[in-house]
Amino acid sequence: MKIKRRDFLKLSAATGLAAAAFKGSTLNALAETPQGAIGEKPGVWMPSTCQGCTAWCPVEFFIQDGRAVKVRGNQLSKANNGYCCPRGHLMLQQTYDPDRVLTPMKRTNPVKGRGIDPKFVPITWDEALDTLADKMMELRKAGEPEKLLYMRGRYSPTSTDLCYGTMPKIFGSPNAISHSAICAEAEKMGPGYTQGFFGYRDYDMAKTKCLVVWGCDPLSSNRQVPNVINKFGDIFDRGAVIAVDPRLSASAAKANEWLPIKPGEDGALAAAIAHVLLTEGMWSKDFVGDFKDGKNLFKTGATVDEAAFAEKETHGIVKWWNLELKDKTPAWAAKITLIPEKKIVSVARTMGKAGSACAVYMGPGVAMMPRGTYASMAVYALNGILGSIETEGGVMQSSSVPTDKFPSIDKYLDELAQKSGKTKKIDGRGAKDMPAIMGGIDKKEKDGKVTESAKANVVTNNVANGMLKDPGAIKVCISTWTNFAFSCTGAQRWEKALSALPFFAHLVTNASEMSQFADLVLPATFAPTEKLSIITNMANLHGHMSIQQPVIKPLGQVKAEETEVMWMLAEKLKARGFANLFDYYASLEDPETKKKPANAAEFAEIAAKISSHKVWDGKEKMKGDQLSGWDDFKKKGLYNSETYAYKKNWGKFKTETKKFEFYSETLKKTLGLFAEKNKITVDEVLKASGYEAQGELVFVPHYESPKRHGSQEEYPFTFIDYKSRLNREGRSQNTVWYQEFKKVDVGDESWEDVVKINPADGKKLGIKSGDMVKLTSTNASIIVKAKLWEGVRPGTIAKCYGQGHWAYGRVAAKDYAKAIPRGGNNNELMPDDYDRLSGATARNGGFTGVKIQKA
Amino acid sequence: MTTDLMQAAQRQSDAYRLLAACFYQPDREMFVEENLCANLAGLMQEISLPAVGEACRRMAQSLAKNSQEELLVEYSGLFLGPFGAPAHPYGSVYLEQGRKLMGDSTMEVLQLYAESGVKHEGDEPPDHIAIELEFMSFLEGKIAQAISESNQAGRADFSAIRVRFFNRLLASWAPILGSILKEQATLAFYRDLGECLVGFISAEQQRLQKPALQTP
Repeated sequence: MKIKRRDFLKLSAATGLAAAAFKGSTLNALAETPQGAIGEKPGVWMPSTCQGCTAWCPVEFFIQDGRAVKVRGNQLSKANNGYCCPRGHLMLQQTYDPDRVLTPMKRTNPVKGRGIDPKFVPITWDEALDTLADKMMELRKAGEPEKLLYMRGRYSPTSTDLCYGTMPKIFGSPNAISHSAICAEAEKMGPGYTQGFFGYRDYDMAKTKCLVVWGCDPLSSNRQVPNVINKFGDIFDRGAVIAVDPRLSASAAKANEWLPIKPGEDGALAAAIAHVLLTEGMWSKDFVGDFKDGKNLFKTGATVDEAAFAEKETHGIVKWWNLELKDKTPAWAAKITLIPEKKIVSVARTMGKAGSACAVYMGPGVAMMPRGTYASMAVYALNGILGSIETEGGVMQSSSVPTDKFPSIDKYLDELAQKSGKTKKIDGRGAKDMPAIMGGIDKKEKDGKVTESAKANVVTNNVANGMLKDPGAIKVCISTWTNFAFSCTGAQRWEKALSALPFFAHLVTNASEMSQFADLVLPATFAPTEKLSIITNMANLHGHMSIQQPVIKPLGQVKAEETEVMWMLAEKLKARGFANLFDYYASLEDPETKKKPANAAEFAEIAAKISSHKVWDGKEKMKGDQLSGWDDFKKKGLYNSETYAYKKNWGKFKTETKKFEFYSETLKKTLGLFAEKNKITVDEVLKASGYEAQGELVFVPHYESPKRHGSQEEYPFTFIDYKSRLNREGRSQNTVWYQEFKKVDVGDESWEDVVKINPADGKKLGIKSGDMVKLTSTNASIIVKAKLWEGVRPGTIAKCYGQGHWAYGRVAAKDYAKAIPRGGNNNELMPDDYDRLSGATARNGGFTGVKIQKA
Repeated sequence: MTTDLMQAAQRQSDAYRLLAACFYQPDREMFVEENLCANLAGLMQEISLPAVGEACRRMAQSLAKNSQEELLVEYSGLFLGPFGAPAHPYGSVYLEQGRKLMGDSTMEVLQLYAESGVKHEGDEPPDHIAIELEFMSFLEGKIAQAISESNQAGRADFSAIRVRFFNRLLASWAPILGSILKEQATLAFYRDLGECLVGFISAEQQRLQKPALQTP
């Protein structure tokens, strides 16, 4: 806050005003206006979109006198039925968090590290972007634009194309890195390599007769919380809810059956359930087909002749049986999973009875671990056996909405950008030991010739390793809505990598651990209440396009990082002789008025209008809602698609066979392409990447034993991490409501970060609830409070992700100046490791061994 | 008598305004050139607050010693953070449950601004300490003006708003902020600013407890 006029500092007498003629005080921040009042106009509900988890719910804010005071789901939303979940309400506290960054700041202390005061001081946007543009131009002038790194955290699925999808490319860097691989990418491997759908699924929960929530807690998190809360209770009337989770989650606490599986053994349980479903003849005859003579030949231990079975919508059921399932009995799985044999059989029968109305709702807990691809395939393939793919009560692919893409950037790529844009990415994707083939086969057509290669997906957490390995590889980094020095496993590596980074600009709502290493901290809009953008997602068998807009006057000097800031940066680059980015942005055209943007705000609005044009244009008859124009869309805030049609992809799944592949020809071909490119065999790829399977087993869902860091002897406890129903992707810990209501997570305590230990283990260790304990892994130690709790089995300990901030606001961090965290960060305890076929970071599956000592 | 009352109100207005200026982003050159701290010290002396005046003089000495960057780093560390400022400059952070900006108290501040005929023009929340002090300066100025124009009704109206605003809002949190500055600032300028704020608000609490029309 600056003094705008020097008069403000002068004495009245000095301003030349005679005492008798005193006409009032000199003003600076205030201005005279006719006397009036506030609070007289009625409040109004304004639509926007929550992005606190991956549901991206259409919501509404109640605005009174320019202030947001209440939140609810968008009343028109078919995805959330007009409700938001508990975390939605935290948006008010996030918007009005006094610790938000409201002005651009620059570092004045060049020394970077934990506990070292960066001595940030306020600067103008102009100065900040001048500095950033100068640093970027140094790279262009040196002919090394590839040394620019952009890393995105939470983003808008449309605006991101103008930032992540454009800025680095036009500038000439291949290093546009998404956070995606620390999210749940390994989970996509199951539906991807069986069904050809590398995405997150939807569920017909209104008709589901048996819901199996596996490795997630959909009442608390995971992609459609309000819809699950809305529909969960009625499932009990139609059938059963089964929860597979090492921890007693909110969903597990309500479920008919809780299977407290030993962490990381999901593939074994899935194989055993599949074994029961097949041996007891409970597979879907509609979807999978049947034995030609009608007699079930799936007998434990017996190989089956492939020719005996006639498949319908699937491929390779008998191969799968022969290669993997025939010996995977419940008795075998019971020893590994610690779920009793009888329970496995009874659960399989419950699932089989519900048949194609049984939805296996798989979450990241199954897959986000070393070798997690195969557990994901195994668990997801149960839907294939049950035939619940796109059926009433079953599992759907995602619904979508019509969007318009932004114009091609190709003609704005100069020679340098084209050349350097093809250099190797910093995240190591595509290496022999990091295939990262999430996404399958990439087909490209040029001059009538089709070439195929294995897709290479992002390996977010490996960026730190890349930077440490080659300190000169990245010289300038821009990152938006990220905190990898906290949110990535092996978080300490990021501290080292960022300490050595020559220049780092962090665009965020709140300064965090990552900002500790920034040269510029730039204030981003809090997207749900301050950013104009278009968000698309789906739930409850409907896709939606939802507006995100400033429902209040944005606080301070915040700017929309993907549009406004990019425009402003492009202006600065243009002033320094590199106009391509600006020229591209300036070429965008308002689909309604045909006007081109003249400033950052216009650019943001035109971008939003382009993305959403198809849904509000009003000229075409839409399959979903009919809107009459941009203003109508802004007012309603939402377009709902048509209802998902059952069986719509049967016969045309995007696999090599167009079938649901129990034997994945798609994986076989993808791995084949990858191996060929790297001049090694598929088996060598698997071995280098740390998988156990070799030969034909590689291509079917199968059991891989869990990898564990730390020996059982030295680190006897298995650590599991989970997410709070109040987590807003790790950004809500600075709100007092998060801390105050933390007890809504089963087993947790308000204002605490407790590690849950089974009472039997507590007794052995002489630890009681409330004791401070030191948890040590092969990676690090953290000190937290113990809570004895029966919601984890002996030998397993659980702690929620989110606490342990040492650099954040005054609520989240206990003492920033001394770098003392509130609680402990799980990601310091867990080392960085990967499901290397997908490139996803391991954060589940109990891959971290821990020892517990009294602190 | 009228002139005395008017001059007293004018002095108060100046004192509030100059004190407000100290809470803005520091501009050392401007502060020195305009004798900000010395003038503030003089005003405090005139309104019989010698200890506060002394604190202001020490602020002037600090200004001479510290560089612009030192002042800016300290100002940022105290008021801006970005890792959670120890001396948040917004009233609602102290007055509201749940530690937030734009709370009900902020709306009450806006209501009083509107009733008094001023609006807040910046991007920051309107209950920033500098803006609240500026508002008190504005009210004192309006009172001085009303006295000079023998406008008893105007004087009574603005005096009533002043008492309401000061007692319900500003004085409820400014001393806490002042104490934090005294305890946590590393530069004497901001430690003494804290002392100045505490001392001045305390004296104002005494003054503004008197019936409105007797209080200049």
